[in-house]
Amino acid sequence: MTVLKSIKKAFKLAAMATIAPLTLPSTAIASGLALGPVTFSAPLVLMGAVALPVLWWLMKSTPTKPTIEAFPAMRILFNMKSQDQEPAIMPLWQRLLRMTAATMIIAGLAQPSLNPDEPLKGDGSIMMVVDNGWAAARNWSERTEEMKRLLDRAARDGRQVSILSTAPPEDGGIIRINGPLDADDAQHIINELKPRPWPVDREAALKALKTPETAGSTSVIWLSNGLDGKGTLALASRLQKFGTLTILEDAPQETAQLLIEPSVTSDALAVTVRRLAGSKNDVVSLTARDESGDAIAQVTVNFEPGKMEKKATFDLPIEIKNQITRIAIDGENTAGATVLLDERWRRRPVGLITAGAKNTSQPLLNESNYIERALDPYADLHQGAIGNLLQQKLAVMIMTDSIAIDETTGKKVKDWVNEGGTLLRFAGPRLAEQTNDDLLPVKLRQGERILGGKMSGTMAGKLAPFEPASPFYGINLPGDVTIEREVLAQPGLDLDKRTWASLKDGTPFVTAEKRGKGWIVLVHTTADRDWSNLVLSGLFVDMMRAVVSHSQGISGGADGLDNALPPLKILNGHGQLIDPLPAVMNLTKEAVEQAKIGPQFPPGFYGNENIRQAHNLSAAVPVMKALPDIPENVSRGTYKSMHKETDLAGPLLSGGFALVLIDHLLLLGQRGVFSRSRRKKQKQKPVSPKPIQAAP
Amino acid sequence: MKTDKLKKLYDLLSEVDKTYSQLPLNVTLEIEKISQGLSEFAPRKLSRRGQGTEFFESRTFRQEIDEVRNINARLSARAGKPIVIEKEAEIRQHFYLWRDATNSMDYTSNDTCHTKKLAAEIMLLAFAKHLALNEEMISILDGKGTYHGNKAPEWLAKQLLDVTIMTGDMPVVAQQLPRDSTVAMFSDFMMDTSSLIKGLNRLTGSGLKGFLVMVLDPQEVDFKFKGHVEFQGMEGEGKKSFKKVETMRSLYQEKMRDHILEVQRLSAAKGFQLIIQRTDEPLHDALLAIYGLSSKKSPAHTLMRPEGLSL
Repeated sequence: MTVLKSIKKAFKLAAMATIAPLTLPSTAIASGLALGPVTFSAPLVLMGAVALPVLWWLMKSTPTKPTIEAFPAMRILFNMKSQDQEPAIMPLWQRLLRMTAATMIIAGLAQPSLNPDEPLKGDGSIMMVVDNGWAAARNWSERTEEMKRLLDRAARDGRQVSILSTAPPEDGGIIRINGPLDADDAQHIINELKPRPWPVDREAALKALKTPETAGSTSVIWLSNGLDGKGTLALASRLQKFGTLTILEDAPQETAQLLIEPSVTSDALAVTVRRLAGSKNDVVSLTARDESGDAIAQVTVNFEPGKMEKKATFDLPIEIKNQITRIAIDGENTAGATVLLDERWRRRPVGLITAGAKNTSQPLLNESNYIERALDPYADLHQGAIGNLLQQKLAVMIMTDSIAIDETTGKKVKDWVNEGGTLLRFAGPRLAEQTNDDLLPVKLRQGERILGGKMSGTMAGKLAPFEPASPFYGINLPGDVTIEREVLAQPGLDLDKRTWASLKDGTPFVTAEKRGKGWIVLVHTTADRDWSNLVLSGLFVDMMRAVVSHSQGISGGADGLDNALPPLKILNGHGQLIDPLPAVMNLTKEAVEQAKIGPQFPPGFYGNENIRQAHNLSAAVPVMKALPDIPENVSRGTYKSMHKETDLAGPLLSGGFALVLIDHLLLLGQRGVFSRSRRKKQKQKPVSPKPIQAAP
Repeated sequence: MKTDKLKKLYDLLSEVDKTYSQLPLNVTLEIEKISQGLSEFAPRKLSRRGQGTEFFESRTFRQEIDEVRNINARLSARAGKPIVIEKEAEIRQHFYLWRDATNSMDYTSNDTCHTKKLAAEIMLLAFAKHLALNEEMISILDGKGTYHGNKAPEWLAKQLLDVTIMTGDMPVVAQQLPRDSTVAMFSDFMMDTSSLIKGLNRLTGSGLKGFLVMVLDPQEVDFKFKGHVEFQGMEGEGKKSFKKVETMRSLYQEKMRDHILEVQRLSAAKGFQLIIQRTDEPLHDALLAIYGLSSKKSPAHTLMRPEGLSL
């Protein structure tokens, strides 16, 4: 009777469990069954709960399997009558353990989630607009998680998905929209989606949007980078035509920051950190690294409240500073938070040949004084006798007119030039008389030419604009620089090619010749005020810098070819140097001047074995502004705040299977499987007893 | 194979040494005092007259018991009357030892106890070692050869480990045992009583004395099983299951007590003393009991305790 009662009770419970879900509206079943804060996405699985009462009854009614024990005193046992005993049943704790395991597994299979997210509005497809420019790289994993969650919800709801990424693709093609796709296909697209090391182009993204087929039915989620730019409002307005628009952006303490290319001062390397208004990143750490990626120096800056820019200075010895090839904001991992440095930020070692003591009482009479003033902020200047300077590693050696060298020393200088050094000479009265000097780029006429004198019949020499092939090309030419005297070059067929600068009348003013791996450069006037006022102008400083820079082959066009530099290494979306992609083009001066950053000119290093130029993102982002206020009916939120749903399936299933394992182990223990002594010693021998020796 | 056998032998002998070292019988005057009160198997130091070659004492010739040729002329001349020299008795006695090697002896209920068979072998060999000290003659009851001296326990151990020597529930003895022999048998005696009687009957001899050491595992005594258990015999007896075996505990203990008392009764009738040894208790207790030095009460007494079987 007890058994019959149990069976009746079991079926009654089973019936209730079966009927309950079926009384729900079909939509409730389709979209999930909500029980308080928990929603079951696959509620039909809960019908497995029907089996639970039956399972309970079976466990209660079925006697447990006996433990097998080998025992020697069987004689005693056989003499014992088995009394009527209640069959041993599974203990209550074990039944509860198994019921709990079964319940957890059934509940887990029904895909429960705690505090599920609001269902997506609309009943059409879902559109994901993803800002995958440089600023998205910082929190790319959160964006990816959000995209996956949206896909899960789309799959649950049976809705198709379209994906529009707003950064130009790396192949340089146009921006296109992917979809509508099934959730599985959309997953592949999302897996391939990466942040790009260039800004987004919302105008181009706008062009990719087609007219919606069913206006108002799409659920649009814009995973934005939080930055305003061209086409933002237009894109938002267009997206609203598709359906409900939700914009997600980073939390204030997680917005991207930009690192601006440094300017060079005499002693320090200074970069600027720019952040969005409202950002809560007040303390920022920057690390400078060398070619091999090792950290060389670190600096921390603290933003004043309300300020959007802050300068950070690396105050380092020149030898250390010259090793820096990149500076990055710690923890950002974006192309915008990384700045690459090339030779322009390195102070090259320059030797200035001096003979005897300087005239310190009248410094302005010293030729070397002007050179020293011009180069000291930009170069590592060494002064001394030529013999000492040749012992050092120098990029450029400067020789004024007053310096005379003997044949032996001259040979050494020639060898030094052939090995790659640049000899920069200044003309003067001595050179005007001794024109057979071998260390000259061109042959000179004896004597100097006087310009602008009353008897000369010419205007004081003015410099002509620099040719594109000249290292001085691009330097601003002031109108007040006048050349009163110069040495003249012998005419020759290749004189034009050796001329870096000339006067308006075409007379060469700065000539240069390549010797071996190095150069010999001659400025046809003095390095002081005697023959011109060049040394008093900023032009002199620029020209000196250009010659020093040219000593590494930095300035373009010195060899007469176009200025385009092939890509060496580029930055990916996460600020890491990688090999150039197929769409990357040679870097032109125009791209540099216009700060073009995109698939054709991504940030990175461009150049060849002689010259290396860094192309940084910061020039392409002159201003950082937050997304503007979007018109009404658009909900906005941050990536973290929009997601409160907790998936319970995993924990429930793991817990359920863990309980099953524990139950199994307990069962084995009860059966004595773990008792080694029983295994070894309770061996069953053959049924027939051992023969006993018969008595003789 | 040989290495295995040797290892087994040495392992057994080292266990024997451990048990043997617990025996207080091989040292000091106190032991000698105790042994003076022992029965016929006392240590050899106790001299008595008998057939032998060693001088024991001299006395006056007695016509009714002595022969004329036994008169010692030199002593008689000195004493002026006939003197006979009494010789010391040959007091080496024979000890026959045996242990049960059937399957039921291969049982132990937990890792801390020896199997009953191993416990029996240890006790047997420890006893043999002590006997060997006293130059007694020792044999395995249904084995080969008789041994004495320091090497005797080792030879006996080899026989015990020799799997080609077959033995059953009780030993089979082909011949009459020498006079005044002593038998010590180590087994669980979980056999039919008729087999026990037959086995004991086979052990005949003039002045024969014997000890039955019943080796039991704690579970055989306490029966602390729980739940649904199926017991299977270790010698093909069959199986029996109990759904709630803990409810059968007191009944089992009663039956076990009855069996032990029956064995005690039968063995006493044949002149054998029953000693009970649990494998979870010090094994030398059984040997002390053999020498009559144990503080344990007799099985019969302890079995009558109301709280249950306690040995």
